[in-house]
Amino acid sequence: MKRTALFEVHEQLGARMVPFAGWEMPVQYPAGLLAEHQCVRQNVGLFDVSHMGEFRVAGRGAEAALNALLTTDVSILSLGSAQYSLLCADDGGILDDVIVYRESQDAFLICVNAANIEKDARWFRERMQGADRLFSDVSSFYAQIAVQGPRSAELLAKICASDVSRIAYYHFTEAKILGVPALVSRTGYTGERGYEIYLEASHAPAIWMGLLEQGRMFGVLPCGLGARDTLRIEVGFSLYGQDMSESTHPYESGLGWAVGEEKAVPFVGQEALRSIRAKGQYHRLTGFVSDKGAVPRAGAVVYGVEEGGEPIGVVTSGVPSPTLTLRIGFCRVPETFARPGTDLWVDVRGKRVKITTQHRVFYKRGSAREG
Amino acid sequence: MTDYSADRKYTKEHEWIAISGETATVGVTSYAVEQLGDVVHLELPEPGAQFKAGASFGTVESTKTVSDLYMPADAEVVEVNKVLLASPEELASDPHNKGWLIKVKVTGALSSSLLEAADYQRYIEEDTGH
Repeated sequence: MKRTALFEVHEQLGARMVPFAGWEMPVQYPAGLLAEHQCVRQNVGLFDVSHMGEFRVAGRGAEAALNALLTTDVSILSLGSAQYSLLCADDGGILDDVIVYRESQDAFLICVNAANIEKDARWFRERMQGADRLFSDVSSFYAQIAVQGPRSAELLAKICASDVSRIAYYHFTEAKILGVPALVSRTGYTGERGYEIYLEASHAPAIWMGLLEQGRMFGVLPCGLGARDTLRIEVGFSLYGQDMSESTHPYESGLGWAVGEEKAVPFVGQEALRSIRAKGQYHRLTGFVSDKGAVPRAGAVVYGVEEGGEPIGVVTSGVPSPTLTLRIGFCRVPETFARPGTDLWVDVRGKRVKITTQHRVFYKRGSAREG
Repeated sequence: MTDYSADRKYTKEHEWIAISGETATVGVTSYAVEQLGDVVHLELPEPGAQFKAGASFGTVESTKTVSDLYMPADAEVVEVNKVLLASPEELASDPHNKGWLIKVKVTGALSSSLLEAADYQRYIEEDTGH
């Protein structure tokens, strides 16, 4: 299994390590999942996200080449801005969800999911015009640290040479952090104000320890994949491999908004997606809540009735909410069952648990776009 | 490190069984609870249910995982800790006493791989590499 540049630091901090997408990653530290989750909502937490992949597409024609593979229109991206996008297959199935950063007129950085690095790189190399010249996989160069929470800007202000607090949501800048050059992006996966720092891997331990030390006065905690999962579900963010995959298209994954239907240039999957959209009648990804009891988790089968009946869909993500009395998650079901307030039943280890559908955002007070 | 009391026996799956004549009380160890993290749900059998040693008699669910509970002896369930079922998060506070899971009548053999307290202590020390 692969290890990030921060592996030894995590061990020193007493993290419980688990396998994730071929990497040995911290699922939680001694404070525990609940404390880590609440710390991000109230103060500031740190996440090692170095397992994610980074590609650079740069050179003359980079924009057009990239635009032909992504569902969004990257030509609208200004310098220093970023966008969430999808990589789709010819049949409209989702290959990955990514974030694209415009570094210059002809240079883009793309952050991809850890589990998809090899698959995506192969895709880019095979399908992008001029890939030989334009495309490089720079994943092993970068470590990535996410700093998330209402006090994240204050923490960064203490260690960044420049003022990063004024970066707008989904924008980024280059900055020196404790003397180390970094790309600081105002993006995140928690719904709170936060930043994702891309830096050369060898500097990661020093920056991580620097963040922990300077963050002490803000109550900073290192946070693992467990908290990352409960935080993102609370604010309705999907996880590739659970809520979407190659066998689901954007419209049945709550991601129709990321398909540039007005996009003037053709992109891979566009025809198929137009046809899917026109036909309609696809499933929907909806949120659900259930009471204290067995947790409906990813893969659990959904029924429309309490006893008997046919399966109508599946749970794609499910966790105990951090207050530990409600369970929250997403499920994919036909449109008629997805209307908010619908009672459905999930088979959990042979017993049916009642869930009630609702909008995918459970927690609405996140500070992500503040200031 | 918690001292594991010699008044009961332990399994490698981190259950304990305290036997008193024909009846016994079964629970999970504080090591198990520590490994699990926050417990969110417990599934326990009804009184009258019978199990062979080594069979799964229920599950304990934490935020991230669901683990089976294994019966340390051939037994019939006599009583279930209803208070704990209603508030599974309380398991962590006292897994060796108030956090008992089931009371059983031992109907046959004990599991052949039960550990004495000192052996269990050693077993978990090896497990954690401490």
